[in-house]
Amino acid sequence: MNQNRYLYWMFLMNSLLNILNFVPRELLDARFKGAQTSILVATVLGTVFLSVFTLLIAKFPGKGIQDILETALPKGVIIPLMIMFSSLWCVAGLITILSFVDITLRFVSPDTGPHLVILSFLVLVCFCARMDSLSVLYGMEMMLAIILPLIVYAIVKALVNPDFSWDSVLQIVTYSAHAPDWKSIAAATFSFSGYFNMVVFNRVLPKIKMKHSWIFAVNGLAVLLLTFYVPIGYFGTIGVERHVYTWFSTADSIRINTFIVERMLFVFYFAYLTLSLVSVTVHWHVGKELLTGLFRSRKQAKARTKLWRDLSALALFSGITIAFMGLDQYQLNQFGVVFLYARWAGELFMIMLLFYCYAVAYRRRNA
Amino acid sequence: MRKLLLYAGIVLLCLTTGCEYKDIDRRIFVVAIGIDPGEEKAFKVSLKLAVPQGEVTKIDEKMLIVTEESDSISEALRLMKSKVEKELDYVHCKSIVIGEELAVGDIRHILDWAVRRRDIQLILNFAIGRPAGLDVLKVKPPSERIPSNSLIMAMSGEGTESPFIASVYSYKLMRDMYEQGKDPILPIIEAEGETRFQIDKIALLDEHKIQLVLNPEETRLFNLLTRPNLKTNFPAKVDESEFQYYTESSTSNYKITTASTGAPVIRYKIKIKGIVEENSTQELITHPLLEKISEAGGEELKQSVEALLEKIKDKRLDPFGWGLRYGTRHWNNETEARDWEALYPDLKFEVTAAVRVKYSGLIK
Repeated sequence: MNQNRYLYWMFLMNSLLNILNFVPRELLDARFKGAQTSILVATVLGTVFLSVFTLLIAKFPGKGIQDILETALPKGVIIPLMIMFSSLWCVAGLITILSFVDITLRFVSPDTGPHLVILSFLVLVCFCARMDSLSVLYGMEMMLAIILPLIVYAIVKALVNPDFSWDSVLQIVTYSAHAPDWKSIAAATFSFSGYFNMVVFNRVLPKIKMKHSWIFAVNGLAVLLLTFYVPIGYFGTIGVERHVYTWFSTADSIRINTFIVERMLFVFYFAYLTLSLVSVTVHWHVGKELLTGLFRSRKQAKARTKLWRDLSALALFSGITIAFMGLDQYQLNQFGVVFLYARWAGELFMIMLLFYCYAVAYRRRNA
Repeated sequence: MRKLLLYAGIVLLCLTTGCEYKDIDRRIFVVAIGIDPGEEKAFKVSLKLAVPQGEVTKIDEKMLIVTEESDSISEALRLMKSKVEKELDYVHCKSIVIGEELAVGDIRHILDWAVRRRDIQLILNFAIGRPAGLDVLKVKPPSERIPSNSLIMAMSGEGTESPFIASVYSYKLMRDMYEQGKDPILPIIEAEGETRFQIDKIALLDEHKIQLVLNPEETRLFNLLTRPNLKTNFPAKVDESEFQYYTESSTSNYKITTASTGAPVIRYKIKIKGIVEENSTQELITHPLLEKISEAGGEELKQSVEALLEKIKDKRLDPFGWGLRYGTRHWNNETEARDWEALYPDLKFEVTAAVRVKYSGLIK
């Protein structure tokens, strides 16, 4: 198999992860307004972003983002840029982990203290994020192979439930004739931003090519539509806004007649626990690589110095995460929305930077 | 370095206390909750508790009912914590029975509590208890081996598949309660003494309280209209002989047609394939007679369904979600709800019941 599949896994991971917290909530809040047109717009924009970014970064085979930027930009510009981007990845992981701690406490283990839960997640993630890039990718592939059947099962089971209210879904479809809005588009494009991790993984995937962009478009659209419509089928057009973790409540509403556990919630929780931890690992691996890249010296650093650099970067991320634990439900949500915008702006900015670097390289070659 | 980390890890492991998890013999499981109006306070909350037992083969049903009155449900539950020595665990609670007296008032408070609490499932059966929730909890059929299991089996359709039982999970109740153009329903469980219950009626609610109670006959028709492949029998009368046919498969659907002139019509189409189950005379069933049975059965069904629909319409209720269906077919979202309100009083029903009795059973 070629290396392109890793691009697809990265995309799929983000795409499935969007169900977790902010994306469905933002989309469902706009269900009587422009959510559905926003999903369509986001599918087009997301696929364009993904294709353009991958095409551009494939022009620099085997190079990380820092190597690429160094070809065209002065050092003084690169340092703040790298810090900015690594904080973006740090926040991406942080939000996932905070949401998941909250979900764990609410749905599965209300008696456990939040600090114990977050510490155990952080220890696991930090150990995994220290692996080298290829191992992280292999691990991600494995984990996806384990949980993908579970998620597909949950979704199929959700749709075949005779109590699923298709009328509510159709009623929402009649609300689709509204102009798209920025907030929903920003939320929905999150589903496509898995490719963004390529800024680091491009180093280990030199043979990546942009092929079959329609697969990403179709898959992304399907996931977004499911994200949006399934909770409506379970909680109705109006009742749906009352649920905080819409998808976990949906999973709680699905009953499995003949299985070891009766509640779909636990199957779903297991799948999403794995998925979010893998995703945080990938995000923080990227963030850590970006941050430690700044301290690279010409000659190969000793293994010991590398270890300390890695650990201090990850400790910094963990520290920030623990500092953000004080946020309540609504503050966390607002923070998430700000992140959704920031991430989108960051993607656009990164694509522009890459384009500039490519233009510089092109001119040099032809000069 | 590595070894140091390893030792530190082992020491830390010893400190973990198993996620503050209480062992199973320190827990007692709540299997059903009954909520009635209190004599002095607003609520009288009763919990049916199952005592965990070790060996499956020697299970002897052990259960306990505790009751407490308070002005809020959570307060009542907290007070009950001091009535039992073990930790109350709600994750296995499968039914909430609301006393009828309370359900003619407002049940939204209870629903809000049940959905908001994180350790109570969303797939929990809501029902109305007659004469009161506590009486239903007290019922202990002799055929039951695990506390409250009979209620769970009956409601889930895993045991008996009665055509008179409609089960309503809390997520569904909440959906229909808030949905515009659909009204919720609740099954009624009647306690008959200490050993039997009867679930054969459903209550139709408006936004939050009981408006109409359907009798068993109507309940069965209601179930026929709301779910596919209802397993039941229907009567057919040809000349002087009474037949009963069993439904092997049944489907029903409806369309709302609003012509520009004239009243809006809801057209129900019911299709049933059946088999003769009972014949009151000694007559041999021939092919022409089989066709007559089908025809007579269809006609009888049509009339009873129309009567049910008219009865529901007279109360201005909408348990089938006609209003919602109207909304799905119209794109004028601002005005469609008002349009429907205006159309509702003029509704006409047309029911076509295509009953096809295909077999006469094992004998002619």
